[in-house]
Amino acid sequence: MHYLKTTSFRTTLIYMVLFSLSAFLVITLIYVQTTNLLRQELDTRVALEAERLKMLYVERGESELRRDIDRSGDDPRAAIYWLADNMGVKIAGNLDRIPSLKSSRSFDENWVEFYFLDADQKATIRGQFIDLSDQLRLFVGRDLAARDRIAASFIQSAFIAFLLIIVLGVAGGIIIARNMQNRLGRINHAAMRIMEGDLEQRIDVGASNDEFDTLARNLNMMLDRISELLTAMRDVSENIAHDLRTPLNRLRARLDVINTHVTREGYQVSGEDIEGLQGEIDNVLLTFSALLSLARLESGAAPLLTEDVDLSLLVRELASLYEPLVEETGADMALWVPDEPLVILASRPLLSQAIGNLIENACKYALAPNKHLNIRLSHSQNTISLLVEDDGPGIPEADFARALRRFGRLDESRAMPGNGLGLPLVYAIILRHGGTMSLEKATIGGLGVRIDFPIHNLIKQE
Amino acid sequence: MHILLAEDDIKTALSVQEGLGLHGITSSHAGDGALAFDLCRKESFDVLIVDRMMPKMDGLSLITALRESGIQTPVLILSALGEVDDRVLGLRAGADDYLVKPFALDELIARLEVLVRRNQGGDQSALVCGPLHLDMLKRQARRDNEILDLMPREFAMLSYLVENAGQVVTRTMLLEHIFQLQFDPQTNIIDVHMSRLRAKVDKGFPIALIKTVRGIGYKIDEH
Repeated sequence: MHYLKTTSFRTTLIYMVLFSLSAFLVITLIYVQTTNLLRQELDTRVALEAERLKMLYVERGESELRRDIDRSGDDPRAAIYWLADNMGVKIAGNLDRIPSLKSSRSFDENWVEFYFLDADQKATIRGQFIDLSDQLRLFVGRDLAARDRIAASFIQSAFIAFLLIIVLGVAGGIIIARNMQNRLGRINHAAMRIMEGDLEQRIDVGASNDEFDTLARNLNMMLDRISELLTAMRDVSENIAHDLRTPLNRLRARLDVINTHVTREGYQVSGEDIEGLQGEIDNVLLTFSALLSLARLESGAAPLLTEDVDLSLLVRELASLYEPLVEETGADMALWVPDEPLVILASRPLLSQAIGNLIENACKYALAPNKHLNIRLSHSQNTISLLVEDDGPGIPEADFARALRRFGRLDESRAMPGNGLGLPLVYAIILRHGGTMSLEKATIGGLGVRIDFPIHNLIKQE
Repeated sequence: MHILLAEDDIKTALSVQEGLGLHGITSSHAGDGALAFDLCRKESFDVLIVDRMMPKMDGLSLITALRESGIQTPVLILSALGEVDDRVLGLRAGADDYLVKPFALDELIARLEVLVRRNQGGDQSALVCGPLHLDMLKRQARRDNEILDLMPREFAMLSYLVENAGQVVTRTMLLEHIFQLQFDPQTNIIDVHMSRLRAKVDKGFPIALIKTVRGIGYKIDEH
């Protein structure tokens, strides 16, 4: 019975206790109210009867009163009469004697309640004494059996109800606990399997679409994301190994050649040799710093140091910075930038780097004589968009996703200079600024890169 | 030139000191921030090279403490923390320049020279370098009384070179100063701009004033 230890079972028990308590309170209240009401009604009837008999005595005299009492008092369950003289000797009525006042409870001078032991059963009687004259004393009362019966059945029902509540509570607790246990068990089971190394394991999602299914779905999505990241990390390590080993190997080979020349032929190492080696090392260092920047951007560890950046101005400046480079490729650059400032809160150095990288990429991979580079900054109600597009060879749509991934260099470009971190770095920078970036087939034929910043970043100009 | 090198890594410190010595720059070394602070109050240096991560007092606190006690010696931060934000924080703390490890010795020396010179020279409304005459107010450049048709950015590049005439200015320094870019474009973008500037400044004249310093950068010289 390990259910007994579960949170759901304990919660059910606590609710059961709380529910019993409130049920107890409600029943008690009803009990008290009902008995009060019954007593009041009884008192009213007794008082009316007493009043009637008193009137009878006043108007018709003692003998008429006695006849009336004899007539109506055959059944002691209905009403109880006792007429006596001042010595307490019974004159008429269906009650043989009044018990001594010790066994009775008096409420005020006239009202009493006493236990009456009949031959076969006992009863409680409640009634009122009336002094008709110095010589005559009348008691009119009622048997409380009806009230006691109702009270007893009340107590009995309450007891049964409590039993039911306890049985239902425990049973419900066990059912709920078992249900929870089953569903959590599935999640736990999957977690254990994953810990044992089966990363493809997923949690069964039920059909009821309740909070457990939502939890399972979210956990599954989390697991998907984790395994995606793990795969990416594996890819990255492999690529780092490849991309960093290549220049290091080249460096080593060059050093070997130089060393051979030096030892065999007494060759003098020239500044050119050293510069070549420095260049190789610089490449490795560039790749490293790009990797570090990416890692820091993606981890989101340090908050961005942001400032107001006027995108219109920034794009114009970067375009003029890169304009000679574009011109050198023989291509034409066209620039569309709105006249008004479009100010967002951003890190200026990072944005410059991102936009600069895009233009550099175009120069490197797309631009040639008679080709075009279009840079278009625009804004709508909700977004500021930057579109950088060319009419170069472009990349196949199937490769769009890969191009944004770290080291996701397309095979055709492996031979080209670069470290495969350019676009991923741009992508990470834009995401870090809350923007979105997508690759598309440019309207003019080549690759289009679209960057959107949500307008809430925009600072309204006064 | 006499500088103070505050750097906790002995090997780096020794190799930097040796490199500086090759260029005739003498240096003192402090292994932690507190020692560096004491030395600065006793001795006068032309430039301080400060590592960011140091025992006892880190680089940024050292700079703040120096500035608070009225020592205005130019400071160059040397740090392995190369992210743009680190650079901005360093400059905000009162540093004058920021160089990321690993760095080329030539780059360090070029920057030191510029820092010392900047500290000596005041504001000038005109700069002269041989036949070149720059009117800083009109943002106009003449060579042998012939007005050069320069774009604003080209004028900025030229004046930066002339301000540091005779000194090497590296590509990264140009990027930072003229283009306000704090990253290394992976292309020869500075070279392209420089060749345009050259075409306007030197083309058709017997002496080329702007010279390429191989593997380091550029300098302007009247000879």
